[in-house]
Amino acid sequence: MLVEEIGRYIAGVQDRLLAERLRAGDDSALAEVFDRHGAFVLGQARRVTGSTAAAEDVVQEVFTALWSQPDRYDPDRASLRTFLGVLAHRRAVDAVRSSARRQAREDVFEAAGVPAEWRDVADATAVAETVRCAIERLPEDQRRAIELAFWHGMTHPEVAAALEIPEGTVKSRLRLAQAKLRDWLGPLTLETV
Amino acid sequence: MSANPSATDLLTELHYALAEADAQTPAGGLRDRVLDAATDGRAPGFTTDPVDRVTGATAFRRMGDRLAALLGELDDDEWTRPTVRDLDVSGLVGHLIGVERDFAAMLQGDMSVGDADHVEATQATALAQAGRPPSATRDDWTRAFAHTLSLLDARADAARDVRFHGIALPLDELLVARAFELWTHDEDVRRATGRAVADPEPGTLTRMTGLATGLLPLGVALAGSDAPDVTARLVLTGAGGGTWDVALRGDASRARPRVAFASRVVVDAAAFCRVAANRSDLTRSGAVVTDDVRVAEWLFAGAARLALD
Repeated sequence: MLVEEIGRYIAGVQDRLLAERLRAGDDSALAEVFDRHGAFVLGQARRVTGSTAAAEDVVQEVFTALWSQPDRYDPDRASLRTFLGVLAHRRAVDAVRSSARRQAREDVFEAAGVPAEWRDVADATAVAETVRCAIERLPEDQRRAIELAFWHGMTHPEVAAALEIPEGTVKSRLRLAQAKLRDWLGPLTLETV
Repeated sequence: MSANPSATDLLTELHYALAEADAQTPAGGLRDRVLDAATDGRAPGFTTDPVDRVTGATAFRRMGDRLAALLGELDDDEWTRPTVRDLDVSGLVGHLIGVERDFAAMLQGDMSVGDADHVEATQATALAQAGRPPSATRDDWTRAFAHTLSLLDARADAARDVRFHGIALPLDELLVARAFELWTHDEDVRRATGRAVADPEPGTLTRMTGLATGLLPLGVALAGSDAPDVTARLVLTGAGGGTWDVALRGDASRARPRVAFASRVVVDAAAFCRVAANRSDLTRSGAVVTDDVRVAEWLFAGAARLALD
């Protein structure tokens, strides 16, 4: 538990410093954020839009928004990765909605809407414990990957380096973990935020 | 992220940690395209914290008013507390009385103070406060400060170059340097009397950081002749901050897009000003240095050489 908290604390310090540099007009901070999270943002956008070209436009929008309005990111509320992920998701949804496929995609999103249980969970500690127990049930190789990505805030290349395995292996382990956690956590769905 | 995230926050974090599995390596060129588009919309170098620009006279007046309020709080015992340069608080205020009198003389056309040494020229006034009632010292400084303000009110040539105690600057910039000095000694008094130091208000701090960064290459040159011929990126965070590229043997300018630099220093804007006032250093400032630490050491050594004391 202590190690997890230290990992999250360090990741939080890194994000806070990046946010301060962005606000101060240090463009090398934006380059660092892109190098760290660009592949993740592209993946998020690609998953929603289904188009690499559209996803690249979303990536540009997301990083331009971060640079032009860095104050919108609050390190006390979320990690930088999560902020970018939420932003990428919204922008990607907007992009899809503006396309000819608007109606079909809306149906999909509606069907996969966030259950009420998500919003109404009052006891954060209980949910945290539920998540922790679920992660502990994972096979060792999957559990190590998700612990580093989740508790320590690492990107998939960083997880690969830490575990000394290929990036593709990290991805496949995370996908397997994702599927299991989706089954186990039930209403605490991990699919759509 | 918060130390006590909500349940929704926690699950959202987990969701996106798992989504690392979907990451896709960007195609060549996307990085450049994104960075170019971003910096086309917002030029690097400038903070997003909104700050009203203040004139040098306003910065000087505000900092003097703050010092006056502080001096009004002190009890008699606190005026005897030791502070900088073997002076007690009375002596330090005496130094400021001497500075104010010389500055008023300069404003009235007395050229003899242009090259006077800042400490030597005021030392007699500083030492003369020994044994005087604190109220007398405070009243003398208050009158001297008010006299300077009245002379400034009568002038409309803030852009004119002037020379004072060895510093040649436009009057507006020199008044920022004076505000810098008043803030430095305000904090000296606060430290001597056990009070917490206090950052300048953002408008004044913005002018102070602008002045200090612009003079950094001069400071580096004063610190030694063997500084490396490289550029350092200086990122000053918080209100009054911004980003500068400082060529140790050249000029300092607001950061430009995608400039290569040998070292990056990230530090709070007010903390950097304490370095430029020679009241702090690289370690105590809390600066975060990336790459070549020696370059950062040169940068901060140069900053400290800007102090008049």
